[in-house]
Amino acid sequence: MNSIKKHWWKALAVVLLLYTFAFSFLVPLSSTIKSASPSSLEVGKNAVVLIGYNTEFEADENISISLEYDHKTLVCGTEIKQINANQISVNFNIPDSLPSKILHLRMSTSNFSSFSPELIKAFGITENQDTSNLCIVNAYNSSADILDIPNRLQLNETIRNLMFHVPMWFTMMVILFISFFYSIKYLNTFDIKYDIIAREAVNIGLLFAALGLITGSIWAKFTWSEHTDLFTTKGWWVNDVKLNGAAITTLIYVAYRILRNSLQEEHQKAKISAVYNIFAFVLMIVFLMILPRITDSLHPGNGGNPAFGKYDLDSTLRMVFYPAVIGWILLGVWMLSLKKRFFNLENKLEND
Amino acid sequence: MFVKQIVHLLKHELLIEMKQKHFISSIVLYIVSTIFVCSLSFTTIAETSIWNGLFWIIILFSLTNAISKSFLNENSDKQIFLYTLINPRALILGKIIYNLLLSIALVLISFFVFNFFIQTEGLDNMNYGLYLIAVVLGSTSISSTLTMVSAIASKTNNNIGILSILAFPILIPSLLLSIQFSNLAILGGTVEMSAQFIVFLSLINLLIVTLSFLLFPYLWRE
Repeated sequence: MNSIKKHWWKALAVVLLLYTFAFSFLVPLSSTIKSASPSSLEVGKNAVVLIGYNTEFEADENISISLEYDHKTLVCGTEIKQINANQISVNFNIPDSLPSKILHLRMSTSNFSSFSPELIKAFGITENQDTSNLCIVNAYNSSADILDIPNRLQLNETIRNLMFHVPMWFTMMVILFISFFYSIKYLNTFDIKYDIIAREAVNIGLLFAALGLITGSIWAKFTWSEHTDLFTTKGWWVNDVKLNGAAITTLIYVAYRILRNSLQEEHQKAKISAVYNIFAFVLMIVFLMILPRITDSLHPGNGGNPAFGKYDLDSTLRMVFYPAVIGWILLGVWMLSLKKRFFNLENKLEND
Repeated sequence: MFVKQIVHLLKHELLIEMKQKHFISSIVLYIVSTIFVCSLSFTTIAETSIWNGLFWIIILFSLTNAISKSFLNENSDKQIFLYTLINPRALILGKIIYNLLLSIALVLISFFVFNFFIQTEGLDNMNYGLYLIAVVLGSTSISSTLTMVSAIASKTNNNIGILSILAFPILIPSLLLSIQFSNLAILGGTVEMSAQFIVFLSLINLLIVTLSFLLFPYLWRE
């Protein structure tokens, strides 16, 4: 009974991480329309083939498709014909004048309703700010409220990486803060057991940094490099302020390890590396706060990109993102407590 | 008493520098020969931002060389005896101030030599006053960080190698800020336009000095 009281957080970590893995690998992405061909329409009748992802068009009687702009339905799709599960053909009759050349596609079926912004462009029209609905669309009530992960343009399936990449950095910062805290505690007491915690926290922090770099690198490769008209990069590494911050952090703590290894006497090692740890950690935090303010970033929440919580994280993602963060942090702390116990025992054996 | 000790330390450092003239001249020669090697490989740099970046890299390496020796003799018996007479906090402040003056002198020398050997177009709009502020603030943050880290690195055997790997990652951000700031000065920016750089760099400098002031007593005679 006593052990449950003491170790409940380890069980919590396991439960949260199992939930995270199960959710992020098993829950499907929401059905949506990914592309239209042709995507640029002209005045008059246009036959368009829409290509969906995770859709089931076959044998679905209740499908309505429309083009809209600024919450006004402008063109209703006619002669809707299912080709297969993921393809559907539709006719759009584009009038001479519309409020915008760029149009959003809204689709409603008996299984899902989807909204694909800026999917279709209409050329050859004159833009006028007529704000009335041009047609009435029959919105089918997709009553089935299925659990799914949002399907975003550009991100596609890689959105699942959110539960792994972002918590790695959160965990690393928490673990490095623990290291900083115990370095201060060591300088106040000169008790070697605090130095062991500070040292092992850096090792675990570096592990999480490596995992964060690997997951981030893979994510960057498959999202940022695809859109070459926006970003000029095609590689695993981009020149971005957050990546520079990550690189600086990793370099600082690798340097910390080298400093420790180049000192001989145990207490000298502990004292000098604690001084460097405090010096570097405070400066690193200041830089990580200042740097994104003076330069642009590809990451959400910097340089004009919307932050988490605006619309990147919808309620479904929140449901698993926050547990994931807590789970990974608890795992990091758990690893640290194991290391601490191991090295305390080793210390005891050496002294006996 | 505290200020008196700092002034005394500054005099002491200056006296040693005057006695060992070979050190300061070797650093100046290092700077001139580095810039000469650069001028042989570039001669003219069309883009001012590359010109400016090269200048800061040369500054970084020459200051690393110059400051790496600030705690070199500290482990000798005579030095340890001298240091028992003063407050450790006065010692680190004295060293930081001395290294700051030394690095400003070195940076100004390198700026003239660099301008002399390596030409670039597009310096017509340059705001020299603002560029000077950028150089002073940037070299303050480089020299004070290097002073503190060289105190740490002097405890190991491989002084300059350890100094570089410990200090460079901490220096990258303030170096980036200084480079952007001086680029703005080259493009003809004004003080109002660069207010955030001045504020950030000054705050960073203040923070580095405060941290050194708080932490140095723990390195004391270790």
